[in-house]
Amino acid sequence: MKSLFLNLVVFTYFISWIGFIFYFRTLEKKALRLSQGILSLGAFFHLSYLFFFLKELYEFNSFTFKDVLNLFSFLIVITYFYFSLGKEKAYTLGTFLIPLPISFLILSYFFFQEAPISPFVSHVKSLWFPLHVISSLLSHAFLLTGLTSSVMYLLQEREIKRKHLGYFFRKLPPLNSLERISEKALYQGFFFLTFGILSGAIWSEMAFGDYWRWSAKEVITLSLWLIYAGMLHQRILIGWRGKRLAYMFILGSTLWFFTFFVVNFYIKGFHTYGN
Amino acid sequence: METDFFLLLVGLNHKTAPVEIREKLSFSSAKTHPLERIKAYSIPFKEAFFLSTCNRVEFTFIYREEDRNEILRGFSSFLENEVGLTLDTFRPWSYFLEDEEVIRHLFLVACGLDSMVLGEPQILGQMKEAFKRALDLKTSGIVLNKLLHRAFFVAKKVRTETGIGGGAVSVSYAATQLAKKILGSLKDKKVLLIGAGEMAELACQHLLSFGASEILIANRTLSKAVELCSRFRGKAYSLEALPEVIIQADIIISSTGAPGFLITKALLSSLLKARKYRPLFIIDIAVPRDVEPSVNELENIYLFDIDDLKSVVEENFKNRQKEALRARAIVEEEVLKMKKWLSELSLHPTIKRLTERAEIIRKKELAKTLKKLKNLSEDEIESLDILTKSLVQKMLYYPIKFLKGGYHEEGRLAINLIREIYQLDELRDWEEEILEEDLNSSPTENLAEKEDFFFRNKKIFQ
Repeated sequence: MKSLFLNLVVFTYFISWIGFIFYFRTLEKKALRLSQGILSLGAFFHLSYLFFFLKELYEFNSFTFKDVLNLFSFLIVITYFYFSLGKEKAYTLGTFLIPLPISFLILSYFFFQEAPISPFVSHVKSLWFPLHVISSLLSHAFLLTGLTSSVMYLLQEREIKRKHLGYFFRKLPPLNSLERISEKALYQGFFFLTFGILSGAIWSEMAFGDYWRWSAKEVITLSLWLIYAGMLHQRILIGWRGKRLAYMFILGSTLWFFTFFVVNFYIKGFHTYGN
Repeated sequence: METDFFLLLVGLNHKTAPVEIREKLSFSSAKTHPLERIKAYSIPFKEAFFLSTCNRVEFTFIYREEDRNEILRGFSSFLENEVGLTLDTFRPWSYFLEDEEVIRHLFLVACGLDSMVLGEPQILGQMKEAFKRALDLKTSGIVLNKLLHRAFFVAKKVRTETGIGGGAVSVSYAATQLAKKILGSLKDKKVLLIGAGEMAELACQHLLSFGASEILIANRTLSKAVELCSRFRGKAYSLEALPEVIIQADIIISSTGAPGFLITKALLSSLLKARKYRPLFIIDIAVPRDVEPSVNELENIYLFDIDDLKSVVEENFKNRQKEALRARAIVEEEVLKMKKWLSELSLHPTIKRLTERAEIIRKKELAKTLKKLKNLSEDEIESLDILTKSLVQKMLYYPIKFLKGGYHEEGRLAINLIREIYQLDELRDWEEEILEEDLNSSPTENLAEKEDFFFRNKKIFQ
């Protein structure tokens, strides 16, 4: 049952991505609505899958990196809906964003079959732990959405600056909308990252007796938080926007990628998987 | 085309005739519609349609084959009396299209593929209006109704499936499109006009119609700016106040006659911080230019001068030409469908085909029987022939009467029905083959083989 849902999820996401590509090529409203519908169906399947996963978690009390990736891709899809139902009419965002959850799902499917088990399960004693996981992952999801809209921004900006209004000019949303999405992603991401760190610290105190240990992951997450805070400061007080904000997002995402896929496995220590 | 209805389109457009000829024929000053006046000439058309825009004048007639000469004669006397042109003087400026060409032409016109500005959408509205007039005057009937509705459908299809209407092809529209892509929407955006000339005035109207919230005008002589402002409810400034106005603006349109640069890179870069790096779209339509070109290198500043905008328009135009090829393919497809519809509508070809079909079957069956009955005299063979012939004729009397009775408004249904029942649209190739071979060889030869072929492939008599 569980694996059936997972297959369905990957399949529907993929179909909706094809729809989004078609929408990008034709800008036909019908294609957009159809692919959004299919995507929400996929999200529903995903939710059902996660429900089964939760039941299992309750019984066996163990989860792996694979499950984390799975939850993460679900949250990215959720952020898509958050933005596409919002005021910014940046529908082509889906064409660029949806490949991310699909590739994470496929990655978790093939490469993390024998996924390392999370080191914390036996210590889960309170609600702070799931809050820590979900809000951290949500902040990452916003970070990646911001990255996507920043990349789209840079593409569009280049076309306009070069005065060569080609393929992307017509298909991509206005610069202003893309920038607004990055900005919102920044605010939300910062909020959830802060909350993730705080809830993690509280939980750590309850489970192990101290708030902070200066492990590799914590240090890098802290620097990610500092980048976020810096971006926020420049954005609000000085008015950094556009290209600079986009570059900051690329920097932040690179750092995140390093933490998530490298530090988690190759640097042994507290907080990493498989030890 | 196998049909009872013949189509004729006489017209001229911007490619074939100069404006002096076109305006003579436009009938725009006439009190009565040309379709109404053409009725007075008792031209024996079944249906008629008249389209007149600033780039084309076209008459479309649907007529019966036998009325062809009458139509031309009537039309030429109409031309002579109303416009003062004989058909011969008119001919070099015009085009005469028939049947399939008419269908294709009307489809192309509806799609804007025959327009001066390729892919322009206004023509569709004008055609719809002209069609409405034809309906009011009751000159449009079953064929034209279908043809024009089909043309509107094709136009819509082409518009959604190709990029024929995409990309701005006028400078002012290109500028608005750019502004929208940079600033999102023009709502709540402040526009600064530098220079209070005619250009600025036009730009003002344009931008206000797209929802710009506030107009600021800076001019060398303040009084002129104030005068323009009173009309557009804007705020007037003198050129000395330029830096502080630039801080407020989201779009700048500059069109002064100043010899040097009014906005330099140094000036603008000192204002960036005060503007909080808000995006700024500058359109420089002045010659010599008012804005230093290197301003475009600044962060979130987008500068387009008149040449940039023109090259954008040219590029869009090239794209439209590429898309036009795709649009033509769609039109061809639809022309085929329309032709099929027309042939379905026709009575005489249907009757002809029906009798042909019966005759083939009769001959085949007769030959088969004759093969079996070997010792027959000439007389006996002849009477058998007569027997089969009259059988077939009697059997066909009813369907043919039914066809003719339903003619012609509801006749389409009858024709369709008979065509379905006797499957007259199928088997065509096979029949033609047989007919040809009948001419070449004796009827009894190879008939059994053909019979087999007939049953195996088409199975119509099961």
